[in-house]
Parts: sequence; C-alpha cells; structure tokens
Amino acid sequence: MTLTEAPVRRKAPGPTLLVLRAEARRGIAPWTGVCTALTLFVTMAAKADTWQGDWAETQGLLHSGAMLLTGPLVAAAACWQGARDHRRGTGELWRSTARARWSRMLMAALPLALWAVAGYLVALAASLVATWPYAGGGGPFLSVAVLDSASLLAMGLLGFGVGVLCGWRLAAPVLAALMYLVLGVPNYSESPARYLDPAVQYALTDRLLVWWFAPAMAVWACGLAAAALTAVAARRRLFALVPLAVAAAVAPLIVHTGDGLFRHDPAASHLACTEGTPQFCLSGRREHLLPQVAEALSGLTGRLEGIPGAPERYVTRLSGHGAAEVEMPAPAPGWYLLRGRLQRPEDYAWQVAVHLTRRECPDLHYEDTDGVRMVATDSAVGLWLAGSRAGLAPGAEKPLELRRLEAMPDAERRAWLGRYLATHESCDPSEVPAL
Amino acid sequence: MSLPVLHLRSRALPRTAAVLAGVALLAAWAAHWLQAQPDFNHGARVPVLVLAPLLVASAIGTSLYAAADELERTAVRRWWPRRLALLLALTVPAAAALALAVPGHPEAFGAPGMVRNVLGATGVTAAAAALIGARLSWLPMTVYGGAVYLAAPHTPGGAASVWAWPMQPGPQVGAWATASALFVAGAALYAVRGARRERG
Repeated sequence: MTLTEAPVRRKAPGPTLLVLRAEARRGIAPWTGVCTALTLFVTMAAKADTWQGDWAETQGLLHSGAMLLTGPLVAAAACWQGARDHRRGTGELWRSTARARWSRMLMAALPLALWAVAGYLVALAASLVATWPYAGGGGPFLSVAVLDSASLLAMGLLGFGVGVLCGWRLAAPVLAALMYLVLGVPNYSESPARYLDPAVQYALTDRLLVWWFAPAMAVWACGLAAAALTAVAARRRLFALVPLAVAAAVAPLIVHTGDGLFRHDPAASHLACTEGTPQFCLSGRREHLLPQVAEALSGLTGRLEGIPGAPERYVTRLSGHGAAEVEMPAPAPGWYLLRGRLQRPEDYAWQVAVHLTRRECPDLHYEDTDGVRMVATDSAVGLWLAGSRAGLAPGAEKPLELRRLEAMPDAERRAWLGRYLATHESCDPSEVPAL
Repeated sequence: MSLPVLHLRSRALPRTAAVLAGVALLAAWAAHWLQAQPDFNHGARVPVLVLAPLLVASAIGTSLYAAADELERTAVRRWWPRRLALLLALTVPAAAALALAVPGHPEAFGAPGMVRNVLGATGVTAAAAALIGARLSWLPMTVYGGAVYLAAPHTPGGAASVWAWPMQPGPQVGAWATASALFVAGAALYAVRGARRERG
C-alpha cells in the first residue's frame, strides 16, 4: 500500500492582494523607495562626522533630509503615478469596470507611498546602526520616526491625488518645487503654526517631544492627504469632509501648544560627575565622555593643583556654585566630538581656560590702560593654563605677559596665581595682580 | 502654418517659454526675499540656485516629448540639427533670464553659478529624455539635486566641486567643467537619438 499525501491547497490570494502585489513590483513605486533610500544614504554618509554618535543629531539630519528632500520627490513620483491614466488614455476603460474608483486609486497610490516609507526606514535603520557603537546615553526617537513615516505616506497620497487631477506633463516637477517651498518656508518663521509643517527642524539635544505630538502630526498629515484623495477618488466626495474635520480638529492643539511640544529630558538634566577634586560634570546623556574630558583637562587642572581659589567643578551647565565652578563646552558631534572620541584636546583645554579667566564686567572700559593690562593678564593666564599654542594665532609670538608668567619660579607663580584667582570675580583692574 | 512653427508647437514651445519666464520671475522674487530675511545675506540664495535650474531643466526636458515619434523618424531631413537648435533655443534664454534673477556676488551664489547649474541640469535632463523618455526626464536630476543638496560640504572645491557641482560658488573650475561636460554629453545624446519612445 502506498501512502500518498493529500496535496496542500494554497488559498489563492484575494484580488486586492494581487493588485497590490502587482503595483508594488512594477512601475515607479519600487524606484521611489530606492531613490528615497539613496538620497538619504548620500546625505547621511556625506555628513557622518556631524551626527554619528549622537541620537538627536542623527535623527535631526535624517528628518530634514526625509522631509525636505525626499518628501517633494515622493510627492512628484506619486503625481506621475496618479497621472498614469491620463498618459495611457485608459480613463474610460477603467470607468467601464466594476471596481470602485476609490479602491482602484488606493491600490495604485498605497504601494508607492509604502515603498517611500520603506526606503526611509532602511535609511533610518542604517543610520541608527551607524550611530549606536559611538553613542552614550539615550536612544532613538520613536516619535520622529513615526512622524517622518506618516508624513511621507501623506505626501505620497497627496501627490497621487494631484496627478489624478492634473495630467500636465510638468505637473510632477512643479509639485516637487511647490512641496519644497511649502515644507521649507515655515522654517524661517517663529510662529507656533510652523509646527504644523512636518519638515520643521526640531532641536532635540537634551529635549524630548511630548508623547502625543507624533500621533497628532500623523493624524494631521494623513488626514489632509486622505481628504484630498477622497475628494478626487470617492463617488461621494462629501466624505472628504470627515478626514478634513479630523485634521482640522488636531491642528489647533498643535499650534496652541507651540514650544510646549518639547520637554526637558530628565536624564540630560541630571549632571553626571567624576569622583574626587576637581570634579568634571557632563549631562547625564554624555556620561561616557567623562574620562576623555578629564584626560584632556588634566594638564590644566595639574597646573592649578593646590592653588587656593582653583575651581572645584568643571561643568557644561553652571548650577550657581559661584567661583568654585567653571563652565566647559559640551562636546557634541561637529563640536570637539567625532565618533565618540574627543578631538583637539589642546583646543578644548584652551576653551575651558578662556571660561576660567573670563570676567563678567559689562561696565568696564577695556580701552583704559588698566583695562588693557587686565585683559592682557587674563589672556596670559588662560594661555599658560591651556599649556599649548592652541590660543595663539599660527606663527604668532608669545605675548610679554605670558613669557613673564612662564619665567616665574614655580613657588612664586603659585603664589601669584592664588592672588590672581582671588580677584576672578572682580571688575576693578587695580585689584588684579600685575605680571 | 509653416513647418517650423508646426514643429515648435508640437514641442509645446509657447507653454514651455511661459513656464521658463514664470520660473525666472519666481526665482528673482525668491532670491530677493531670502536675502531680505533678518540675519541672512546673499549666501541664502543657494536654494534658488538649485531649485530654479531644476525647474527650467524639467520644463525643457518634458517639452522634448514627441507625440508622433514613429512618424517623425520617417522624415528625410536630418533631425539632429533641429533637436540641437530647439534645445539651445530653450536653454540659452532660460540661463540668461535666471542669471538676471540673482544679481550681484558672482564670486558666490550669483549669475555664474546659476548659468552653470542651468547648463548642467539641462544636460542631465536631455540625456534622461534620450534614455528614459522625455516625460520622466525630470526624475534623475531631481533625485541627484536632492541627494547633493544637504550632502555637499560647506567648504567649496576639492572632489566636491565635481560630485556636488550644483552646490558650488560661481568661479569653481571643477564645477564648471562637470556641468559643461554634462550639457555637451546630454545635448549630443538627445540630438543624435532624440527622446526615447514612450508607452504610458
């Protein structure tokens, strides 16, 4: 007796799936996804030094690229797709079929929009993977990813609607230019209404978006696009008022909240400090950089060791501890930080030395002889503390005051520095010891 | 109606000329508006120098569509001088009009940069018309322009003057060489082959 297995019957895919699959595999839709990913890859790769290692910078640049560059491109490609029946002259043929117009339009528009979103997600994944090995605290911003994806989807649907309405050959590139203007111009505005523009740039360093912003923007953008497509494609065009009303209901919420859409990141507000004296304190998100910062400033702190009045804390954000606290620059990609490594430590130390010797004297006349002497003294102390030529112009000679400070015997210099640091908050030049 | 006029009408010349004039006016207004913004100077005209050439190149590229391609190819007369003349007749006035839209600062983002970008963008679009068809000829330059827009380094020159030629200031030799080569290649390709035959 032979055993035979009953043939497995696979259920044939429904007509909707068949159409979706065909639309997704052919025509301009897959190319839109490829072009979206390619545009974002080129943008991100060329500017890798300015974002790699920082989640906010990574998604900030990707957001700008996705909205301002690929958004108009997706709208234009969708417009080309929407004008397909105009080009082929198949409008009447389609009208003779039983399929509903809105269903047909959605089947043609959705794959292209989804390809665009897929292209964005691929670029996002690659960028996040590139940032991850060098990043410290924090993580990706899900809200920005949701917002960008929903906006690209909306631009695809909107562009398709324009294409259905307008068969003009130049409609697609003109729509791309218009979209660029509509998305880009609000960036020049200060009005809270600019937050309705999905392409507006968000400063997300040490800040977070409120949780409801991404869903609200998704409803706003997709609501407008759905209204446009319904008005173009549905038999009962008045149904377009439903998504339009939903979008209109969300818009005042976003505009009214304005800058309140951002809240402080509690982890970044917390200062992470090293043990011992002096302390080095960075934002909690950059705690992993503390050893590098301490090493870069070791020369400066070594020169100040044991001197009365020397700073006890070096912080990126002053907390009001008075003279015992000195501000230092917050390392960020493109600003002393490259893929998790502190760059140009001599220059970084010089920046800290400048902060250390800076006086807050708004009423002082720096043109007076005493004022000039005080500035020269401050500058010489800063240069000596930095311990390098970072503060000097290339080829410039060391100033006289610096040479005098260097020539002092060690004990005398320490005593002089003690007297100097005691006058750090003074705006009276006669109190500052001369060199 | 004479044959040349009929030929020009078949290439949508009046409508294309109107679009080119409209883009030039819009570019002049946009350049002026951007410069007038607080804390901005003539350097803020970069988007105009990228976007306006992209639009005129798209208008020129899509106007190269031949509705009766098979019929035209049966003609006895040589087509390449006519195609080349049409392309030049559209590109030269467009470049001149857009150059007038960004007066001053030729050393930065002014008239020379604009002319160079019009030439380069039109060359790419003409080549695209020959290779993928006139109606979709705007796509390659749109993708390329978008890709280099944020990717171009702030410091001009070097290799970027070749790969990011639309984002370079006016006098960059490398950018001029690239854009000119693209225009010559694109114009030659279109003049010899004509726009690719399209179906739907």
